[in-house]
Amino acid sequence: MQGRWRRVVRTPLGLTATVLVVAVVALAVLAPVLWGSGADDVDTDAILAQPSAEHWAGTDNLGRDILLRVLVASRLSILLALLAIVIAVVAGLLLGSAPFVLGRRFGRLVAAGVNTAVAFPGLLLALFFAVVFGVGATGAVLAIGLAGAPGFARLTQTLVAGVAARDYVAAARTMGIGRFRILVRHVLPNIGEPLVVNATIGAGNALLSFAGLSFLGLGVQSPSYDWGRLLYDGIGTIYVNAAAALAPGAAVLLAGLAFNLFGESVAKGLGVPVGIGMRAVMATRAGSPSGPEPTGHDEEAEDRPSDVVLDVRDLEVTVAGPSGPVRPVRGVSFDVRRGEAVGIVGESGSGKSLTALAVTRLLADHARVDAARLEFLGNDLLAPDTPVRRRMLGTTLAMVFQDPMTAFNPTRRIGAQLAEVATHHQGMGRREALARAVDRLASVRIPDADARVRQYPHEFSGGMRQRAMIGMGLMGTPALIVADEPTTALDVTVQQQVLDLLAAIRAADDVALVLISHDVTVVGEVCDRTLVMYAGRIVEDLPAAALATGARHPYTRALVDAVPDMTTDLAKPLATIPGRPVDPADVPSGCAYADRCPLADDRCRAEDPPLAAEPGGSPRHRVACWHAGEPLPARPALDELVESP
Amino acid sequence: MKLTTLGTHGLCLALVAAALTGCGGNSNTGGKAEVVDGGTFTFGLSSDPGNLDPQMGAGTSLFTVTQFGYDPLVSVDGKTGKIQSALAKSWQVQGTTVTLTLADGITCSDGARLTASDVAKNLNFVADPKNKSPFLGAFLPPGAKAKGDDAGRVVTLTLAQPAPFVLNGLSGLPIVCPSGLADRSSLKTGTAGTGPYKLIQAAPGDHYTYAIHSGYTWGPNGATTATKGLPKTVVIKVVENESTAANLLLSGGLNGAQVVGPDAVRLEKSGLFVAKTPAMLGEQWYNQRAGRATGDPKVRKALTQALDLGQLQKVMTAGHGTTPTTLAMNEPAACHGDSVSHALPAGDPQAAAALLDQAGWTKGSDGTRAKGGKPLKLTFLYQNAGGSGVGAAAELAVKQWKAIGVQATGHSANETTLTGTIFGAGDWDVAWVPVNVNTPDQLVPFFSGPAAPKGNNFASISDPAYDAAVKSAMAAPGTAGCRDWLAAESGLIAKADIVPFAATTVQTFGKAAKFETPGQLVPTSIRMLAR
Amino acid sequence: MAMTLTAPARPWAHPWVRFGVRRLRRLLVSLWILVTASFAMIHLIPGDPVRGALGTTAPADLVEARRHALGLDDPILVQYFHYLKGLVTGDLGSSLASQLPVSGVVAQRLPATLSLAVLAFLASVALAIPLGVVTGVLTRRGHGRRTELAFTTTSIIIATIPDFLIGVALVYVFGIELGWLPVAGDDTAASYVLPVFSLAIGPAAILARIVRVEMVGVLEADFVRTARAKRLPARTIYVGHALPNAVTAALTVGGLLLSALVAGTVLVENVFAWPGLGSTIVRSILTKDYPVVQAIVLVYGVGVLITNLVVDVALALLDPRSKIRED
Repeated sequence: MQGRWRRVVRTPLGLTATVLVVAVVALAVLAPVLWGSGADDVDTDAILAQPSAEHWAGTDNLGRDILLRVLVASRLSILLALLAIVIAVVAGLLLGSAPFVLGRRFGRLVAAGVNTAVAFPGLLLALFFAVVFGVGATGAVLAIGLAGAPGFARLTQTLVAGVAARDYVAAARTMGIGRFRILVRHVLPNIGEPLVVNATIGAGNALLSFAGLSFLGLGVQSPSYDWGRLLYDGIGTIYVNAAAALAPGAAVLLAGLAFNLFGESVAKGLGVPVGIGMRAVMATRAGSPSGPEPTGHDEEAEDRPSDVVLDVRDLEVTVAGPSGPVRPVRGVSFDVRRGEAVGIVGESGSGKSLTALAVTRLLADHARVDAARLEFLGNDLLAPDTPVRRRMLGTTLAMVFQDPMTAFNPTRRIGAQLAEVATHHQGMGRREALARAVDRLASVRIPDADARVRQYPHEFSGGMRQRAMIGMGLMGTPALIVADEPTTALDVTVQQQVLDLLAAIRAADDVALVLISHDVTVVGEVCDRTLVMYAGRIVEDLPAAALATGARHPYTRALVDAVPDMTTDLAKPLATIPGRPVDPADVPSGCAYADRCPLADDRCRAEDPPLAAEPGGSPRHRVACWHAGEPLPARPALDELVESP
Repeated sequence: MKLTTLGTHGLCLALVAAALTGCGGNSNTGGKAEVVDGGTFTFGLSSDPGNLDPQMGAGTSLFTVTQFGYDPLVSVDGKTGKIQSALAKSWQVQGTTVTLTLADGITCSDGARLTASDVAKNLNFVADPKNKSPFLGAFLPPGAKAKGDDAGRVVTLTLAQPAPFVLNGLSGLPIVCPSGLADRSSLKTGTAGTGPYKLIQAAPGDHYTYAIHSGYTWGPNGATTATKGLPKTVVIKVVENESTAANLLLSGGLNGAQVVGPDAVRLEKSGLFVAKTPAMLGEQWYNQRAGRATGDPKVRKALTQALDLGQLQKVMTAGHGTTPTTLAMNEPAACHGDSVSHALPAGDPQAAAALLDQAGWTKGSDGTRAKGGKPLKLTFLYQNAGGSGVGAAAELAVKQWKAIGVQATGHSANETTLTGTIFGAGDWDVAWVPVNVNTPDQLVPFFSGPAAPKGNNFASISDPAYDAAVKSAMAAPGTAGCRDWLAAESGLIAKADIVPFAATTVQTFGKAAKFETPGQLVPTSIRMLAR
Repeated sequence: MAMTLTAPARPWAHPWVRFGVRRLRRLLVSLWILVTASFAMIHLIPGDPVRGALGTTAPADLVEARRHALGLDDPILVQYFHYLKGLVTGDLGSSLASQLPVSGVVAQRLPATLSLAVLAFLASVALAIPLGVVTGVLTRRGHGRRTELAFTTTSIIIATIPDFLIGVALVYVFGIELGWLPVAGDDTAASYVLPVFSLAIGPAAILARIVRVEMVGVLEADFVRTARAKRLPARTIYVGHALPNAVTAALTVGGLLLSALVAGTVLVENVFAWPGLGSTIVRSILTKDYPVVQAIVLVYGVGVLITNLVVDVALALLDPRSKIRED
């Protein structure tokens, strides 16, 4: 808790606000002591004087110094505002917790009353109460306090409802504990923080409301004086001596601002943590000592066959981390040919999704992408974005994302979202584009495509949405589909439908596929080739058929072994890979898998093995391991969990 | 001339930043700009007149607009107080009989002729208590009966008892034309009168438009609408905020407006035309009801002497004010003279302290005086508006009383609350209530007679010397009794029953126009000037 | 409007009809509460309103007669029912000060306040949404830290300055010193400039902040990534896809802001001598002209409730999922 509040003060906004609040409170405490008598000095020879060296803001009707009066008035102003907000919070608490304590019927009535009152503008409520309680400080405090109560009541209601829905409250209720006790013991302590934050902002608003009431002559009456009263007197003479109104006005503003800013920065600080920003990332671009490292693929650079759809060389992705730039993808090279299906497999944090997003140029905002070569259908994707390139990508490159539930815009119809592609990139008119959308939906086997095209995404099931995504990708004539975990969020039965669909599309139009997944078996079934990624690097590149028995990297083999099949011994615990994946911010020099690898030796820890075909092995099978293919030692007893050091 | 517009029967609470009522007028002309005929005169009014029936409402704004659409029987000269012609070309007062002869050719705004019996009907309407007209008692003595002789165009008014200033009262009573008498409800949003202008458009709350009544020759002292310089159209605009009115004057959006608050300084500096009229601003009353500390004349005198009245006046008027010379000082004042200077108790805090000791109020250990265990605590009411000096002066008064051991608590209130309290026999000991009247007889209900809430004597004053002086003053007609009236006032002032200490000048500013404001803006005095 | 696959057999079961009925019921309950509250107000005021309105020298018997004519001597429940009956038949009573019917006062002054509030609302939305969208794009994840700080601080400061103070300052600078714009009244189109600006600037700042925050959030959404994957031009992504989703939350606040705007007119009207309900209600409160105050309170309340209804309907229209899920 202290850490969070301290973090609040560290931000420039929070620091300014805290300083201001402290200053205002100090003024309220000290000013009457220091300047109280000076502010009361009557000088009838200097009535309504202009600002001068002696009186910086001029004088009032009794020749008293206005600036001193503004300073001394701080105490009453702050006190009244605090009093008003206390009334508002207490009344709001009572009203807001009433529905919880009173039960459904009366609670509904109270809630309806509060909702009506909230809808009513605060100033009018204050006027209403000012009429009832009469003109003066007491009336104004009660008025502003009660006018602010509905807002807090509503907030309390929402917070209480949120907490009341929790399991431990339900448990308490079933145990027969009275509602009131639950409220006091369990609910109230949990809603304290947001209430305090809102109360702080409310104090600022209360100050401003006092100024508003006094402007109308309904606030503090003489001989007492607060900022509002001084403002009232000053505005009357504003054209004669503007300082008489500006001084109290500025005081009200600064104090109100102090409270508001403080409350805002606390609210912000208790939420999002502070990062270092993209600046630092971009700053390391110039003169970067760790540029893209060559991984020994130059000999293949010359003979690029003409049916290469996607050509990636030495891809690097750098993002901003809490304590410096981080590179989750460190030198990835591969290519995809026409009609080929390439799978990228690895644990979370291996960099596979980022790789997919990077090569499709969808990481512009979040990260910096560097590569020696990144070409799609012969077009250099590293070049700056142009409308021509956008059109090309929009029609020949299709994306399928992981979560079909959120991949579509919930406020637009499916058909419109599909048709967009055609209207923007294929020069079709609206009707033509919509017709094509219907056609595409039908082609991905969505029944009743005519009616479905006019529906909203929430009316589609998960599997249908994913198929619609694929259909959207087919609006053009894609040469490559990049699917990032397309079936992870789907049921197993639906998974198969989507995979079958992808296979059918590949067969029909010779469309290449890059399939990213953490599921080795899916990749093994669908793809021709598999890239295994670990800690931002490709550690093995092998034909999918070789996965089950021909994997040569220890990690690949562990992945394959970890998948249970029908022959797995049910008595033993499931096989796992001991240890944890590498934190991208903390990548060791040398082989990143060394800590978890049973074959690791000092050379592995010191030197990072390059991804290369083994001498004497198939050129289409590359491994990055100093001990590739070596037999693995017997597994240690899996009854105990092994913690990596 | 007209009686001042007072908010209500003779009582006007001067609000420094709200509509003030003033009477009379010497105006100071601006440059020698050329008088232009025709044109539109736009006047800013600080509140809406509301129901336009001239005999049923008592608001100051209503009085202002009534001047345009209606005429009284006689008028009073602003400077001299002399009675002059209006609807009546000649008149005679003998004992309880008032005879008035109407001028010839008087026409109403709808063309109908005004007869003597119409006038009589007006007077009888006001005189009938069932009609609940606020004019009864203020502008027409109770118990009066009127008769009209159409042949000779003579109106005879028979009074219940002699009223020395009956003609002054009649100068404030507007006469309604027969069409209005027949259908009273039409007077709410329209006019039916003989006045120099007639209402052609009313947008309540916003503005009222008047057009000139050609052929009008029965104005104050024979003024006509044929005079060069009179505007063809008059627009009365409701501008509630004084600063806004001042801004509009400067920018040319208004030709005239009354501005009395701090914005007046701005306008003075800008060289606009000003029509001035004096008004009472600071007048201190004591609650003399039985059981109150201020019921003791020694206490009243002590409280008066404890104050530095000159300083209070300076603060209240920001240095621009003067000391009033009579209690009925609004122009056109009936009685001129000085009843105040020699009677007002001089400021002498030591004498005040001695008086309190004599009265049995001795100083306690905490500095506050007490008598028989009860501390001398007073409730002090006054009216205040933002930026005005009244509140500041009140603070000063509280301080000066504290210096002699009196603990006074000042309560600032708006007009409604203040009048509600004092006329509702509420809780108050000292109050600043400026009373603005033209004739001394209008003050009688405040200084004698039934106490509030039964009557207007809110201070519960009971002074036999005053009553006797009034009786002899009432015997003489009009200004002949002025000496007695002033003597009566002096008696009250010397005994500190009433403390008049600040008079101010109410200024009505004009742009591209000049006019006279003896109490009210006189429509026939408006002259449009070339810009 | 999306049609469900099978249209409901009974028309009154249609989701829109149910939605409408539900909201109408809520509106009526709120109105009843408002009516009762404004009636209670008159009886909670200490003192005698009739004496207060008639003033100092009104004769005592006149005050008494007035009280009786207004029915203030009847028992409270009787008065309450008379009041309700009057409301239903459209009789709002007469002003105690001017004796003119209150409905006339309201009818005459309502258009001025309404035009001011609506224009200010439109102005603040027109200011806030583009500003919020642009800054949202500029400060999307990780970008424009300084822009975000400057923007947030500026908008907090602007939102904190009370609208009447802004009005006074504007009048001073533009009306008096420079003389470019009129300082009072509503005569010309130019008269609207300063009051609308004073009213709109604070809410615009708040709304812009919200739109920015929502934009930043929405730009992280998956469907925006999909839109980018479709290689749509930036403008289409921000305005066509992101903005409608960001606006939903802003709309809720927008409704609240309209209520705040209505309250703001009370003060701003006093600054600019605007002939609307705001200046009337203050004056009426000070002079204890209760029928006028009650009527204006009612008008404000009804206006606010209707605004909320409109906002809710707009929300339901914008977000196709919301009408199915009702709280």
